[in-house]
Amino acid sequence: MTHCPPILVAAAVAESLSDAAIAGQLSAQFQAVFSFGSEIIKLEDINATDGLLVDVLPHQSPAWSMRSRETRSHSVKVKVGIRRRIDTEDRDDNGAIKPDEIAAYCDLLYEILNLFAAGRKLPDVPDAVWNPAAPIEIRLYDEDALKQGLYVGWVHLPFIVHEEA
Amino acid sequence: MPGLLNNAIAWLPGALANAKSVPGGITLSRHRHSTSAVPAIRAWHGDRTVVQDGMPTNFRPYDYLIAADAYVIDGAAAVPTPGDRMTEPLGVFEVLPLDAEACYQLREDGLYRIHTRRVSP
Repeated sequence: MTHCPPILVAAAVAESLSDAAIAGQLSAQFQAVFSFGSEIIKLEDINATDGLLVDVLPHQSPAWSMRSRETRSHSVKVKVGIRRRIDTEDRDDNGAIKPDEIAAYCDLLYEILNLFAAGRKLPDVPDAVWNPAAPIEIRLYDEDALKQGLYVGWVHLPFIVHEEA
Repeated sequence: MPGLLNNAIAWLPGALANAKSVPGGITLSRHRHSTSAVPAIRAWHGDRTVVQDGMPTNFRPYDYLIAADAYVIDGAAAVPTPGDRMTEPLGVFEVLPLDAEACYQLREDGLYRIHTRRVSP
């Protein structure tokens, strides 16, 4: 069992996100998967009709500082990435991707961001709290991926974990 | 001797085409319209893995050669368009651009060279 805060927080975010999706608190249902980005997914294995891949990755470069003589503060970012294959039904007669299809996944990224920014707790890491001072990084879409027939978007969720030194 | 060479030159293109032709042709579809048994030659480009922000995805690009006058969908002549599908024994392939190239080029010999990705086994 790891004690590494970025990994603990990412795993907890994956579980919390799946719970929220299954409970209907988000506009799509999915099972978020904790990952280090090592698994290569084949485009043909991504089901376009109901297959939404949601990866939760710990940021590789967390920061920490001494908050006091007794407490360390870990500044942790968790990346939540969404992948979905663009289906033929998502295109118009000229082959262009319908804007509403992409907008729906951009909305989902903001829903995920708002879910945690509103103070959703991570039961497995009770010392983790949202970091309101950190800038939010979000990538709504990747145009190169769209050309490959794949939607990719991600958002970084910033947390602080206070830990006894 | 020249006759033999001429025979070989005449034979070779057809032999090459038959060697790589999709047996029985492909089914070409766009949304709910389709045409079956379209003669086509398929060539694999080699797999590519693209890592988008730490999330690696593998693509299997294939090119098809199809006579321009055979690119007909539901009785109407058509131009290859992203999202068109080729269904054949090897799987389902979707027309998509490749790198900076458009999804197809019309060759001098009247064949469309069409870029696709395998989207279903």
